[in-house]
Amino acid sequence: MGNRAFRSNLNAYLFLLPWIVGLLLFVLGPLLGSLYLSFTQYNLGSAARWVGLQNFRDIIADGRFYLSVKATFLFVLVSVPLKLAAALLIAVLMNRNVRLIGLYRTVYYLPSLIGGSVAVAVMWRQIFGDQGVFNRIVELLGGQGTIWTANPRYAIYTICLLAVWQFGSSMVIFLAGLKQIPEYLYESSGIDGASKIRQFFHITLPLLSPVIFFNLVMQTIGAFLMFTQAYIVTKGGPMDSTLVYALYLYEQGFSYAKMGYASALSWVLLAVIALFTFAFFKTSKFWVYYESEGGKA
Amino acid sequence: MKRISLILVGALFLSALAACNGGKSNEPARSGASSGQGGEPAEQVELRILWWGTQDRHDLTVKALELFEQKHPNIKVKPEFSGFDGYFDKLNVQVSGGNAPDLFQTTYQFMSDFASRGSLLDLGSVELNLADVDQGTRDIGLYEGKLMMLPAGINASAFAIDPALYEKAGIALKDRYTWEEFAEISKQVSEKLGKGSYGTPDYMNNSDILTYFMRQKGKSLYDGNALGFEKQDLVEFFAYWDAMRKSGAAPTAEMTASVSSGELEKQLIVTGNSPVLVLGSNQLGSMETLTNRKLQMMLWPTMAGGQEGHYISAGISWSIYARSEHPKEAALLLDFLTNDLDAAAILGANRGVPISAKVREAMASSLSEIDRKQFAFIDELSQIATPFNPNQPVGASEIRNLLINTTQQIQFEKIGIEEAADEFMSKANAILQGK
Amino acid sequence: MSVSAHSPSRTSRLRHSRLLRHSLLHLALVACGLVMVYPLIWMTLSSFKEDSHIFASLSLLPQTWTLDNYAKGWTGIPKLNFGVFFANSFVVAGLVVVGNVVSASLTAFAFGRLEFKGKGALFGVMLITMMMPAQIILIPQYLLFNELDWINSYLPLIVPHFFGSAPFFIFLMVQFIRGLPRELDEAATIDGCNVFQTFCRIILPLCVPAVITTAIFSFIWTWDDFFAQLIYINDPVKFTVSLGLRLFLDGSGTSQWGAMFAMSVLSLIPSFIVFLAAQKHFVQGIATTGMKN
Repeated sequence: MGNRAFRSNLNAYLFLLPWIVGLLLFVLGPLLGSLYLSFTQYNLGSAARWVGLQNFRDIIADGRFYLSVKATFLFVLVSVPLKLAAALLIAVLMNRNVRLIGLYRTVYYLPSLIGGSVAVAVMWRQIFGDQGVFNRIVELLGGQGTIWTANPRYAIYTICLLAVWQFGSSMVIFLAGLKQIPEYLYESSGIDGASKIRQFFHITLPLLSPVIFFNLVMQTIGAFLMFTQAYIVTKGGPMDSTLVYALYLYEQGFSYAKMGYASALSWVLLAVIALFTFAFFKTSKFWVYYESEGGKA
Repeated sequence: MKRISLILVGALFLSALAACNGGKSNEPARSGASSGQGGEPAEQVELRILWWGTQDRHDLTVKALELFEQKHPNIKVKPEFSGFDGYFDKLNVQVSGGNAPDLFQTTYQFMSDFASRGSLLDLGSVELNLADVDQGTRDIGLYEGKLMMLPAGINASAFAIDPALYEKAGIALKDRYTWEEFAEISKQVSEKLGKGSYGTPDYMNNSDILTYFMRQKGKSLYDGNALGFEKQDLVEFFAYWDAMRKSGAAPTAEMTASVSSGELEKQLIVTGNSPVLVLGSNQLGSMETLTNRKLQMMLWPTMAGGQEGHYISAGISWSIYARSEHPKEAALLLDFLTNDLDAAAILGANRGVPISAKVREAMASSLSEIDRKQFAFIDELSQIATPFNPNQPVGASEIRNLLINTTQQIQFEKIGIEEAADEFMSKANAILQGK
Repeated sequence: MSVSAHSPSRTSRLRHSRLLRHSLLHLALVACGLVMVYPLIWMTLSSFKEDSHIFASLSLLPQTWTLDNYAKGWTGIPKLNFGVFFANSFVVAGLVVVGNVVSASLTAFAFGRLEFKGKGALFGVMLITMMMPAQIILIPQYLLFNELDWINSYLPLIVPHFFGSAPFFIFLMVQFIRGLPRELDEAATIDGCNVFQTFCRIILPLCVPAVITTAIFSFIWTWDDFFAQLIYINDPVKFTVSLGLRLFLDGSGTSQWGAMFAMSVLSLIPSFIVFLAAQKHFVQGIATTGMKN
């Protein structure tokens, strides 16, 4: 018995070996390094000086820290649900064998293909600019136009929209998940006369729940860490309204070279994300269904 | 077992960190290649040089470097060039890793940040011929009395204006205006050119103009490691531009925010919506290309009872890395880029008006029209410019952003001028005290 | 008799409404699709405009069509052309794909299927490593790779991926593997497969959609990535496409937008082809393979 347990442990660790080696070599050291730096005053290029908890005390007194927290939570709360809903809806529509479906899938993935290139930033500011398409539509509907990316009240939402628009990767993962659902389940329920919508809620959603869970966790983490979109479109402005957290710590760390402070900021962020992720995992046993585990997480 | 290896990795890492920052930083390993005569290395040396720019600068510089290699067969130069995106971020990382290039392009705004961390070589410690460079230009690169940076070109900020637009608004241009006159003509331009057009961008957020304004009042932006002006001076400055925006002479808050975070191509002068732009004289050429119209430089407004505020400064500059293994050879290359007439013939005025009088003289006959404008403007300005101490304290870049942020709160009418000035003063002081 | 007379008309009505539904669906998909591709159209058309017209004119179409941007962009770098950058990007992205697929599937199998001591803790550690802002880890990592003398090579960009440095994909595969019925492995064990054979013969083939997803995303994200490549690569000969694209932009002077857009359009082609080619393999999930028997 002990021998068997040893064998199965050994097997597992053999599979894990590359990852553990990588963890020890490339990740853990730097991670611990940044933890150490968060207790120092470290201006890039000069020696790190131990300051204890000073950085964390500074964070509490830092007005821009709170602005960045606000912008980040707004972004997470708005963009993640919208993005996942759009991705799931489109994925379900795409999950069929009609003609040209491959082309459709590719077209819907296109925005994500362009990623965070400068071209996207230029275009986004153009669309939501003074003379942009969006203003045309708003004025057509009798509204009052503005420069949406440069208006402190709305700028963060244009960033959210950009993130939602690039829902391609979530869509692809949903698609891959949908493909994994055995067709006979639908066939047998189809015989029972279950409607499409009933099928969706009773077959698709439960069987897709591990993938939904994955997308939810990853998109939330990703949204907390969001950097590129805000960096290229608004650079955090106006009035720090789009100064998302990652952008703020990047500014502190690289533009002002205060890497000690930036490290402290990032460990605060890590704690918050970990809390959210932990909560997701805790709730997952109520709604995530694993085929391999007979419905238990 | 696992814990031990964990601790080991951590310790290894921390010691590497310490070795990088503590041990080596003040003791640059000097070139092993002992110099023969004239600073020429006896054995093959490889230099790294880094700059940002676009195609034309890359082409010209690479060509000049080839010439350098011909003249110094024992030195091989590895060019590393990039766009501006992330340039200083990368340099920051390299400096912290101890492997920045031997010679790199910089500007005076970034100099003190690097110099304060001991990353720049004192150019006084290497052989560098500055006989043809005037004192004022040399002083631009001083940090705590040491020469840390040498301008590649002289530069001065002023207005670039579009005379045709002024004419369209029915304004007969003078050479220079007072602040009051400037407010008037700007308002007139806005009114005459109609909706969407403005007499001037809102420069409440512009550190160059703020510097100029303080100098007119006999003060300065910085005095050593402190602000060189009082809150009341700042209130005056804010009030001027606040009135400009409210009278319609300067654009709305949104427009200002959108223009200042956008590309050069979105500036109001390019889109034909304003005749005015604050511009470094070295950019006049590229600006004309963008606007497709003839532009000219105009001095900033004068202040009744005030002093002359204009100053000559440096645009693009060069620094040598403090931990360069070949400081002598790097200096040789810097000397070549600064003084060599053949190099100058290749490089032209790509990085601004060359700092060596001899080089300027040699180039005078072959200048393009746009370069001639640039040279003439610098000449004109040097008649009136007063000495300028560009020394920026550590934290200056943070304060530049603070100015933008604070003024946005005025522009979007979140807080009043007095309150904004208070906020700026206290936050700027906190930054300067290294908080 | 009446039944047989009734049924053709009913089926045709059914077919009719199905056709209507289908065309409505297509219409909706096309309409939304247009919104999705608008930027690509804008970018592509801009790449045929003269530099000064890209921002100045509001019209989508170029006033005069020019191929200049492509010519200038392709050869615009001293002694190099964009083909070199494409080749470099292929090398980096290709190897990252291999690294991610191999390391993520091995690791995910252990987490998703095997029981071992410390599983929960290690899984937690893996999740934690995803929550650190990449920009902050970068400095310590840079110092580490500097000590290894890996700067200015592709090693920092590639090697970690062979050691599972992309937890996103590990987690993705874990979720897929946990979704597979356990009877499969049990049957395989009864047939005499050891755990490695189970992995290779049973689990991996069933994970094709996840493997393909990992491969595509690895390729596209590496292809698009800017910051790590910027930091680690110094020598222009070793530049990748995303670094090459930035060569056209000078934040303090004039930028060659036309050339940048032209090369951006070209740079999308490989990712586009990779995606278009790979997407049909999503269809061949277990839904169409041997699940039913």
